[in-house]
Amino acid sequence: MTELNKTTPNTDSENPDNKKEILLEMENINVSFYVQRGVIRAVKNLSLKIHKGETLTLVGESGCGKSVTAHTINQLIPMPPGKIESGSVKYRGRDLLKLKKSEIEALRGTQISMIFQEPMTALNPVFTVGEQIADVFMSHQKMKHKEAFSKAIELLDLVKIPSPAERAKSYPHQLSGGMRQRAMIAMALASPEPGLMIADEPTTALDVTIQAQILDLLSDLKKKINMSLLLITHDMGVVAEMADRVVVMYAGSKVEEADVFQIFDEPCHPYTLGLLNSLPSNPKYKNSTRLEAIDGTVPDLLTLGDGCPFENRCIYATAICNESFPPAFDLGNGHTVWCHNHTKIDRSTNVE
Amino acid sequence: MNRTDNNTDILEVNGLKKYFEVTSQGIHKEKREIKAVDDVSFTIKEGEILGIVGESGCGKSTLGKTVLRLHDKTEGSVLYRGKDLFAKNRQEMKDITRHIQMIFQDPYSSLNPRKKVGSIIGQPLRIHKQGTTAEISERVEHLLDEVGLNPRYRGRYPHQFSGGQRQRIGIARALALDPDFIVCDEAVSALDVSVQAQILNLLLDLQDKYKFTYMFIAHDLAVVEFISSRIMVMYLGRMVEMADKDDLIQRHIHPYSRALFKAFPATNPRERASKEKVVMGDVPSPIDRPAGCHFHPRCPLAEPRCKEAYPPLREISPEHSVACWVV
Repeated sequence: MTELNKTTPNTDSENPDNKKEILLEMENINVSFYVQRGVIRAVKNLSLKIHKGETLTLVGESGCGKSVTAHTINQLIPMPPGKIESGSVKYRGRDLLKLKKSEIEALRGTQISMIFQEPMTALNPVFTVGEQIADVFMSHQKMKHKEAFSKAIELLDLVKIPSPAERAKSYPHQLSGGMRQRAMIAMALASPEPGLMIADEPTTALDVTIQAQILDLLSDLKKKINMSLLLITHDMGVVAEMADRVVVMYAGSKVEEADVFQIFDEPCHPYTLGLLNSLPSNPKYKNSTRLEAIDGTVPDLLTLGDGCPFENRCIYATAICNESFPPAFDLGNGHTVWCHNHTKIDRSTNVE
Repeated sequence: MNRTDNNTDILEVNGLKKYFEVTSQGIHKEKREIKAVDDVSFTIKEGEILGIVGESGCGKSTLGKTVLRLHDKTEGSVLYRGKDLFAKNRQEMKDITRHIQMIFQDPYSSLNPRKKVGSIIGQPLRIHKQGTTAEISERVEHLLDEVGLNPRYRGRYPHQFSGGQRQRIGIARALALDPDFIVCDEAVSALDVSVQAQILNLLLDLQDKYKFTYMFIAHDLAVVEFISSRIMVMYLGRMVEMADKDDLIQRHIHPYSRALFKAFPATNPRERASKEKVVMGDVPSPIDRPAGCHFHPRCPLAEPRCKEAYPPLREISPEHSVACWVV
């Protein structure tokens, strides 16, 4: 591991208050998918910042655009049918959307890496995991095979895979789900200076005891390597464990952004409050037999109007909600909410 | 049907075993056994919700299917209201299946995509010849209404519904024959959290109204904790701990139950710092279970005797049993 630290260029990475430095900045991103039935606006006017060394979680339910956001960053959106309509994604000051294909490919393997939900489908079944990790070193750093393979073993050791030298010779199907996810993480770290790791539902396919191990591993690595983490999840439990800052998304739009304590202590968007109230583990249900569920279902993105997308499920909705998407309301301390009626929210029964 | 609120056992499972035989590929065909459910005994009382929790491969789904005789048993017995399910012939079994039903995990693959919703829900009624076409159609509309769907949707196909709505259709189908015992196999796991809360409320509302008995199988401890009155923890085919919900939440004694409770993500970011680390290692494959207590390679308290023999289930307080040598 020390190796990786040494090779980090002398930027502010050793500086403890490097949180101020912005690593990635997305501005007004709009992504649409042109399908037979019409145009799906998967991400609408999304802006977000990831600071150095920070864990930003994107949380929301299926179809809210959180994976599309991640795929916009390293440009994995299939085009067509997808199209990035407008906006910019600046990574260390360079706009990724203006880069050539070869440039973005170089960046993907070295500075922006990604781990996926289902490691079995993300790994190549016909090569050993050691070969696959070594491949990253060979293609991006022009290493010789022998050196790359021993680097791969080092990384497998770093992600706490027992007997890494033997495991490097295993094929993905010979590993358990948790081990495969560790191998994926090792592959994402195969770079001289991992800057941003995007983790798209990294623990959703795993058992809960394994999930806890992988989350532990990710936090440990983050501290060791000083990388930033963009964590995408639907699970508020994972948010509570991992996040520094949280962006809540609903039907393609950002509805609330705050640091993790603000989100849990004083959620200001009715949807965030509803998400927290939908958790059966919420302490308020200790002596209760019913959950406070959000009624209704997520609207069809094809037929979404201009208003607030949550309007049809929201108990605080008023006439204006149907007419216009709410502007950003700045509540101070980096807490922002997009809700016309955010002042009316009754949080009295929320998590203590 | 006489539904009473007293403490009669609706289901009694004795020493149930379900082994699957697998043959390895290749020249030397080697036969091996997967002990999916291994010597599990329990009873479910009328009107209670028994939650079964465990990780993948612990045998919880196989257990749910075997108690409904959707799988054949290897050994043991399952008594539904005193009647041994595995001793019944086809016709007698058909009469019993009216009362025991199942709700499946995946609302996408458990509904026939070529059939209209009305036909899917009416199917059990037609098989069991419950009334004329008109009566069945009326009952279907009533069932749709009961699970919170518009009866006008009966002419639609499953793909026209969202995941949560499909799960409601699956529930309506399970309710069609007026059952009294329902196995919910990961009934809410495939759903988004806001929809999951709706379905949990629906299941509880229906239980209040019709006094169902549920066997609720899930990997999500929070869901099981919320809905159940009693909880069974399974690990690699065995029942390792069983207790009343409140008792188990306060005292989870088996090292595996403790690990499971600890591994569960915090509900508040402030709990992060105080959390202990969880057990290391992976769940072994059910085909290759460790000898002795199956949990011993991952167990922080393991002693030499744990490798020798599987610990018997013992009652440590009324209604609270644990299978562990050490604690």
